[in-house]
Amino acid sequence: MTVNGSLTDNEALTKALEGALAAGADDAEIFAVRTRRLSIRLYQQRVESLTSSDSEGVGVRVWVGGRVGYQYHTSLDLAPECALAARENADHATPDPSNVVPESEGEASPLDLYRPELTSVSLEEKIELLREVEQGARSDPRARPRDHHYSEQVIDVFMVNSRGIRASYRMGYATLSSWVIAEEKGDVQSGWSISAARSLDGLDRNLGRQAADRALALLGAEKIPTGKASVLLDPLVACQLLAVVGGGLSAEAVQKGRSPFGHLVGEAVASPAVSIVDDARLVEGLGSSPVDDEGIPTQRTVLVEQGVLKSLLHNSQTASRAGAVSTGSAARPSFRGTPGVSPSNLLILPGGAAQKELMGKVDEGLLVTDVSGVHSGANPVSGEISLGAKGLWIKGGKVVRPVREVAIAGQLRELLQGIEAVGSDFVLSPVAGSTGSPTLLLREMTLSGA
Amino acid sequence: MTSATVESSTLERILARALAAGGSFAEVYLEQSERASVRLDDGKIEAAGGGGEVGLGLRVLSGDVSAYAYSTHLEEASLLEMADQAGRALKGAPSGSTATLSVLSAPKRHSVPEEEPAARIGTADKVDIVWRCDRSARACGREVRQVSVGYFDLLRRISVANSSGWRSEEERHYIRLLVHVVAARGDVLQTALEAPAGQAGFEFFRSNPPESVAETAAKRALTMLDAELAPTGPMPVVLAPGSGGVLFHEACGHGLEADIVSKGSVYKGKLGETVGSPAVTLIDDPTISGLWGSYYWDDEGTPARRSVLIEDGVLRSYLCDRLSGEKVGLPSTGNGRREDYRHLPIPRMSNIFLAPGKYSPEEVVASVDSGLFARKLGGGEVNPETGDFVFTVSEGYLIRKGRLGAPVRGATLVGSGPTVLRSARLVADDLGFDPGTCGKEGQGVPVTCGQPTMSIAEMTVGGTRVEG
Repeated sequence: MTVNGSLTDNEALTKALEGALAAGADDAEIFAVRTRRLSIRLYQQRVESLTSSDSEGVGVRVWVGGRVGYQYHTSLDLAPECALAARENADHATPDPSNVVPESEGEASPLDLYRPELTSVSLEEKIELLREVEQGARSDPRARPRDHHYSEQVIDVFMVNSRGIRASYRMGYATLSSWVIAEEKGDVQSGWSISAARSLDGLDRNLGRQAADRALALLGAEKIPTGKASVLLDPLVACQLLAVVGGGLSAEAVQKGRSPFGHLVGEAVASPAVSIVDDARLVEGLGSSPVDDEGIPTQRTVLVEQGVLKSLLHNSQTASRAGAVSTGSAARPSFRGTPGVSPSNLLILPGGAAQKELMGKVDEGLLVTDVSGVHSGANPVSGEISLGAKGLWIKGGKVVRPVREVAIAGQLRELLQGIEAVGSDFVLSPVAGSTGSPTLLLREMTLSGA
Repeated sequence: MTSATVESSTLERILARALAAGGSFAEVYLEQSERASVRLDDGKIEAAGGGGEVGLGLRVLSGDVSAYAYSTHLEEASLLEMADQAGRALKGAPSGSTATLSVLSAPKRHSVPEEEPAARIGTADKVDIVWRCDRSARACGREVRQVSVGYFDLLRRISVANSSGWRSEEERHYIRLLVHVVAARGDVLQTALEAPAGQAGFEFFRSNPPESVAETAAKRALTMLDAELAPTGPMPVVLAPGSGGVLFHEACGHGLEADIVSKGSVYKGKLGETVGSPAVTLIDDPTISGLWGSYYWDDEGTPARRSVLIEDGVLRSYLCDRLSGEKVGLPSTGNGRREDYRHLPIPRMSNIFLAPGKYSPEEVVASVDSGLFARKLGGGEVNPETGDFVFTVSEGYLIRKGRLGAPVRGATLVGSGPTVLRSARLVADDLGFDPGTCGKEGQGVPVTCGQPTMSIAEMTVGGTRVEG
């Protein structure tokens, strides 16, 4: 699907590239994005808010004598001015031989990341879907829907540089989320669930029911005594910790001394049950794209294979520094910044056992169904983890009671090495970027309670 | 860069068009921003850069349903199309009476003058600031492994015009320095972040000398290398001034936002009731000059004002914007805020702080026999329906027999908002503020959390050292 001509045919963008070179830049790169969004919030079967938007922006990166300068604007017409400002900004940067300019490697094989039916389905149908999901949350009289949200995005990306890279693609997806409260005898508990797909039929209509069940399962939750115990991580919880691990698998973090994985390529960093891949070619993965944010074709990269660290994620700069090849992992949070390194769809490969089977191996421990404070309590540099948690206490292989106000703590590398088993219940989710994991059984974490 | 404006007559046409579809209220929010930034990492200036944004958001209310459309295109034709779309989106919503547009007055303007406007400071001087940080941090010890420094200044021009005739333009000048240090000993890495921020020009660096900021970060990272494992389980906690305010931000700040109150918060229906110990007086004040979370009008054009939320333990007020205020039967308290033109306004905190008490910090620490002293907090998170919250201690010390002892590694503290409010014990007289970004419903706004040194009877500490 070709990108709307508003980006690829935009004269101001071409002029910007030429203008940067005319102003004395050795090389230049234009990166432009157009995003169209729709968001619906539903409460008690009524639309609470409806937001739609059409916005764009451009970032110009310039190389002069090994120095990089940058400037951005929301107005594409101002791209030529951005180019001149970027050229001036470059004078203040430190020259660095690893500031390489990405070169064209030929056409990237296309990925079908946009379904026209995403946007052609009517607004009324989307509202109906949300109502159906919210209704599902009322399956039990103790449950009440708290927040239901549908959102969709269509993103057009265009980039061109002075070394022959010219790439454009369109991607689109919809996300559905459900937050439900369960209340009984003054006890209030909360559950949530999320689903994402390229079009409406891929979304899980049972979401409200799932979120309600998660909240109901926690009613009557009490604290637990402090101590060490086995821990099972529900897939969505494992996904959040996986995202923290992902930060440490960036070659940029490793090269700058900010990774708990140091220089461990070739060594065991996790138990043999663990294999982790980054797959940017997965059509249903929200982190996929045919090229990365520098225009290099993307790929599937095996990061950890049966516990052994095989590769880090690279962009062209980190690859140049390491004498390695880019893994197509250049990523910008938006057109407002220069590319760093980021996973695309980061996945722990599933194993053979269902969650119940894994639970059966636990004599006494905690199945963690929700964590909080990940953004502050999980340190991607030191690897220290300390989080709020809720879940279900397991005794003799079975759930005996719900648990709340627990803190779980550990060290990332020890936790990875202590993963005894990996379940078969793989879930791909838009939580923490785009991550996927099954249930994980960890030998031991410290649990704090009463 | 160019100055973006939308003509009065255009504004009136857009607002009228938005109301014509049956809306009871319409508002145009126009924002222009310009940012300059410098990033240093691994001993190099990686990028000096910046950029600008211009965007417009049109909000139409019909009863309590909001339609919102935003764009980076300001041509009248595309704005009128946006107004039509917003109207179509409201079709089927119960309409209030069709409102008529009041004539727009000339805009009221406000801007706090900077002594040394950042926009007039050359990039070379900004680059110098970050180099000074790098040198000072590295000079603190051999074990400083890595330093990354970010500087940015941001000018935001916010214009609000609505169908009641209100029109305002406010200019805000933000400035921030972020120093992140990694210290290493063998395989063990520890990190620290110091990120002072305010609304000011370059004079900001007189009260926040770059060398001090960098040294504070470096010394914290180095101290953490010597730290023991954090203790585990329930214990009394003393919080140092400033970032300790994150506790209240999470324990009750969000729970007092009127949109959350109307849907279900642990503080719902409790105005006039005792919700905390008598030591707790909690205030939200966007009018404090120069603080990161301050403003003159909120992002709906309501004048900012100081709100006493809890007074000597009794709940006095919620934080309201127009819409959520209506839902709880209260006027806006001037807390309607948005990250930028891409978002609807919702009730947010600004500068939220615990009022100072009468004790000295030493007395507060001495009152605890065995517990944890949290000198610096990282962030936290709360579920306002259940009241359960967490926050992370990034620099902590054991308290043994009323005295500060060994440093301990970071840990997250877990608690229940209402329980913690009731467990607040002694409050000292040394009020301090710490800036941060508060995230809610996918939008982040600048805030500060403030408090003096204070003690909490008991919280659960999530360390890794299990006694006995």
